[in-house]
Amino acid sequence: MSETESDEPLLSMEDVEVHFKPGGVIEKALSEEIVRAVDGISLEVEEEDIVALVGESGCGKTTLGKAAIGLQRPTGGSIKYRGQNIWKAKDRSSDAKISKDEIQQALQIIHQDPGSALNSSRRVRATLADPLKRWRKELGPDERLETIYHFLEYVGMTPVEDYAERFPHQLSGGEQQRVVLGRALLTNPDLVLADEAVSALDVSLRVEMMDLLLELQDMFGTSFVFVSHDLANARYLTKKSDGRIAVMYLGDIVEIGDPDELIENPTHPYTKVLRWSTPPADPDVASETMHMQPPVRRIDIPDPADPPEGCKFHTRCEHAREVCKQEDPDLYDADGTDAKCFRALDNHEYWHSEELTDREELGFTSSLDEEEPADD
Amino acid sequence: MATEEPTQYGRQVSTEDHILEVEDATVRFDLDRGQSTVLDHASLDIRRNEIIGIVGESGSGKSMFAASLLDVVEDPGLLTGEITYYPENPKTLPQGITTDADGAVKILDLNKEQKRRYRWEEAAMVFQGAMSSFNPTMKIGAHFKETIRAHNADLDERMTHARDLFDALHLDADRVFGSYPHELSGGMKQRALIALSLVLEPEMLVMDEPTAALDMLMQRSIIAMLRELQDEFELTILFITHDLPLVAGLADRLAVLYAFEFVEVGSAYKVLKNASHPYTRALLRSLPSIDSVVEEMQPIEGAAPDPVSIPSGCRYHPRCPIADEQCTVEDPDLMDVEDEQVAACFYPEESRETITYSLHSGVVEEDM
Repeated sequence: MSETESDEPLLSMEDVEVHFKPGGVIEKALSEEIVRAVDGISLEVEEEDIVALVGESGCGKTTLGKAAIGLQRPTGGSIKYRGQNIWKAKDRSSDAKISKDEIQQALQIIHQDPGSALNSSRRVRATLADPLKRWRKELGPDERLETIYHFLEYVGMTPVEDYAERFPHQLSGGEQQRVVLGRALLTNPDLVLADEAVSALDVSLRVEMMDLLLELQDMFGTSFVFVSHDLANARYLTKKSDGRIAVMYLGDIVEIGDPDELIENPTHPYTKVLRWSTPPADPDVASETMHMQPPVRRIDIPDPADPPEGCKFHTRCEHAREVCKQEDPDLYDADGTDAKCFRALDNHEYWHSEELTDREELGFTSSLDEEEPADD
Repeated sequence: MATEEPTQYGRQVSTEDHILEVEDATVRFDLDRGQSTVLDHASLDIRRNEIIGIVGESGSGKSMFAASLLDVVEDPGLLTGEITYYPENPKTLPQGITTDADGAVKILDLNKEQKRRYRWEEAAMVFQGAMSSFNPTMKIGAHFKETIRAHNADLDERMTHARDLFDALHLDADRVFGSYPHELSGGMKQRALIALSLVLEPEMLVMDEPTAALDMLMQRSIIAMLRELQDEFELTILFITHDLPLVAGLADRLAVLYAFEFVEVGSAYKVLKNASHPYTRALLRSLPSIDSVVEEMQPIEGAAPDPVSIPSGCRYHPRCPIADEQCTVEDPDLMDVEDEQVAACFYPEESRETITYSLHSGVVEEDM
């Protein structure tokens, strides 16, 4: 473990851009089209920190997560691990203070579907031995096995001798996910990207898995970047760990902050959309919101290859005004969160700009007029 | 705890008028390691024009239950039991299907051709993943025409009906009919599929995780549309899902499956607000919903049983905190707990006292 410069954050991303040319080789060569999967994002992750990236599919959350752990080379900006630019280290630049191997060990990933992330013909023991063989060469075979048993016991897969000899198909979904987790954590990483790591599990297993993540975070001192489309999962994990939720939309972080503020008192209209989309379990609240019009002017997400000018959300935003078509807002300090919306500023010209009223006819039971908020 | 049913749940559904009665539906598979029972004497009456949520975890038998309703259990699965359909108007039944003296049709006794017509014209089914339900080389409109012709229905009349359905689902009929599947978004395809399943005006719509692959906003919007669809076309909807909060605002009633049998059935409001089966309560306590109290959430101890070795007595007893001697030997039937709420548990009172959960963090929905 490298504790070189303690004043540097564990991971710091500055103005990171990941732009893709879509399609295959020929299409790439001919097409002018560029998808801005990540479009200039700055984010810091501290020691034992949890950041949940939330958004619809295509918002760039997985790409940002992959960029954070060095699996995706950014097309712009910098990503530093403890002050060391990770791509300089990966390109074996001579002045790298932290080596490529060290960085690779420190940054790990857990994939979405545990079933397909495991080699079906290898026993649990063999799968878990891989990271130890590669990263902890000082361990002999017996110590290795002991470490594996210890981990299995810790995650409740007992009798450990039995579980160690099993193949993936002999495990339940939750158990498979634990093995995947083990494979990532046994390298003793500093930061783990959990890409939809609980969404594939049954609802009743999700809390268990998230609790396990939190326990392991405690034990190993790991930080997590948790990618999820589900605000409820992100809320659970970040509330229990004092973490942050970052809401993404078309390559931008549009709001970031602590879960209570962000969910109960969102500033960005898109955060409100996600909030509306997440069904509450309480039937009173559920039936109340069921009759509400979704807080958007358009349901479908625009083409990521051709995002709207100005604020990218203005085509769907309920509160969009003329100025939102022209100008792209920055992340401003809002109440308790940072939001990429002019509404966070009291004296912005937004408040004198003309409202956008074109709305896709959705025909929900309640009409817009009843809900039009009094503008302050 | 006094629970009062709010009016929005009190849609006019007669408790006596059943559209479908499922009795002792059982599905067995012969496996090398023994006989596997993946649906075990499931009995449930479906009321005409209700929306009922069938909730269970993966491997609880919910998809088998759905398949049983249309008798589409795949080989080598063997379905036994009785599934009785009561059409609203026996005169409009597809040719060849007749009712008995009670106005009933025994689904499992129908021949192949009769079943084929029952499946589209009386009861339709929508699965998850609409992406794979359409032929990629055919425009959406052609799918509709093919289905209509296959059932010898009047093309013009049905296509007009399809347009009504598209309106109710907020789809632009001209655009969607003229599009190939890949030209539509996932949400549009799923809605087009719902319209297709309803084009022959079935009375019943069975939906198995119909929104699972969609984004949350589309998911919730489709749920909202289903309510209107039900209203406008007088449908009976069975919504099968593992995601309880998703149906919380939709369903009139909920039926909870655990280990291949129903453990609790009742008004959605009552089942959510004050569940009585220990499993339902534990499930509600384990759900990371947007409004639950994080500190009170707890996973359910243990794991669901393997279908080849189901525990004796009450099958939840190995995981149940209040199980006693009786529970290990005797299998409880569904018993009345309250009006409109039944549970397969000997101790519903203790269950409510011992297993606590709260749904609401007390924070009021933001006022949009």
